[in-house]
Amino acid sequence: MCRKSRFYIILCFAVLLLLMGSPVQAATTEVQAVDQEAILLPSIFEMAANFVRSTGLFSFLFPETGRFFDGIGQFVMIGIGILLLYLAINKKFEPLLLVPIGFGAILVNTPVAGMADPGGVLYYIYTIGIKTGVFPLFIFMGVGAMTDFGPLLANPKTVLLGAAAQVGIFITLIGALFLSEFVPGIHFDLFDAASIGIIGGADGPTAIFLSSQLSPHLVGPIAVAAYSYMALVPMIQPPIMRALTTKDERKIRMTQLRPVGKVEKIFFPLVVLGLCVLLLPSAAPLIGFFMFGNLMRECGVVERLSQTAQNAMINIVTILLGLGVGAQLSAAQFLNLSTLGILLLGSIAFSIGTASGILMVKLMNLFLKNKINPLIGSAGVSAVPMAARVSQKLGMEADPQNHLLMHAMGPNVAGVIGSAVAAGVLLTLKSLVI
Amino acid sequence: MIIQGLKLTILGMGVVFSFLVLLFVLILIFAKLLAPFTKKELSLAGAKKPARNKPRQPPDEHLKLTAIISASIAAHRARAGRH
Repeated sequence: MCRKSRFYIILCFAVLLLLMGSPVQAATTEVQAVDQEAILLPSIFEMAANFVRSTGLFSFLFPETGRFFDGIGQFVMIGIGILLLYLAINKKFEPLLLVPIGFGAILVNTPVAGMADPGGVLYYIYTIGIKTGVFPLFIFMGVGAMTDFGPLLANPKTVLLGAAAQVGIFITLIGALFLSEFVPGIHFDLFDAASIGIIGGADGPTAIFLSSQLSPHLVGPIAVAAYSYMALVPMIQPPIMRALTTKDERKIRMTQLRPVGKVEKIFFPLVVLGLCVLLLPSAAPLIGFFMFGNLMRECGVVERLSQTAQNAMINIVTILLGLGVGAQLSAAQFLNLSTLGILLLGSIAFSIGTASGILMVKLMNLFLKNKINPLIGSAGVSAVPMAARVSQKLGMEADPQNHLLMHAMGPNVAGVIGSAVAAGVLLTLKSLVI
Repeated sequence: MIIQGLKLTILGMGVVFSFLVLLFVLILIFAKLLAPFTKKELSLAGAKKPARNKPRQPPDEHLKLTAIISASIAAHRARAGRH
């Protein structure tokens, strides 16, 4: 029985093969007769050779451009994409962004597919959302809808810490110019240096927005550096914080924050926007969207819009933003000395921002009666809420009863405004350059 | 080139600091201006709380009760240990 059925199955296949074969033969003879009516296919050997030539493996080894390193470069970039995925999945490094960025890096380096060439899907995502600066602004709106300015309003002194931590941006800018002056193989112009400096703002969307406007060719490395270092904040900051503070300073207790009223919270985004309109209109895209999101949160009459901005919308845009940034991680743009320079400068930017925030607290403490715990100064480098959590952790280490989290949220959100202002100043470069 | 960077740094930090110092001043002014609203809100929120708290026993009695309960638990445990 079993053997019989097997026989029938084989017979059926044989008949099918014959049936499939005969029309092909018929077609070829017909083609010769009717000439141009059907599509001509080359011989089977040529087809097989063409297929082999269109495989990824072949393209890696013998790239279309003819230069051996282009193919290997793509292969290495896929490796970097996988490394980013590993860091995101296994080490939990900013997974919301590094998963799409890592995957985008793999897709964009797939040979033959040309997904980042005009017509490819990643090309459109990048052109529509990142080149125009639209996606980072949407993200900023969502961040605004998630931000509670209460701790800042309760203790407005901490605004100054958000300003001090931006020193890192400008020192890094000078560092970038220094590198390009003295290290052969690295060439950054003033725009590039400004885009690299903004990594020190520790704010992903701001960094992507500014670099997409000033030096689009660096968007990939800058975004990767910014998000990697933001993930590394719990490792970069503590040694600097310990080195710059004494044990007694770390034990300083801060008075409880006063409650903040709803009306104050509604007025705040409008006040910031007003200041921006009057003083620095070039920062209006960033600050405007940030404050729009925050007003939706605080006004209390558009709960649905606020929920959408801080959940559905920011998630959708994050996916697209990540893929679009990943699309910039091509071998030609990433595998060079400049990227190493950017990674190096990024870590310097974070360290200086952290240090200057702490030193600012120490300076302010010279004049204040109610001392501020210097550990919250480091939270001035945005990186919300990671930097504030680091302050809390170190505070608990010195004194288990000392809760700094809410106090650190003040400089933390001030840092976001500070880096947006710094980005606004750097944006004016475009019109300043003679 | 580095000179250009220095110029930008001075301008940039100047703008960042003056923007945020102004913001600091404005927050203080608005906190003063809006203080009546805040006070009203807080008193509304505060008025509800004591109403809920009233039926509770005063803390003094509370402490006594805790002492009595813990003593009886201790006594029970001691008796249980003997068996």
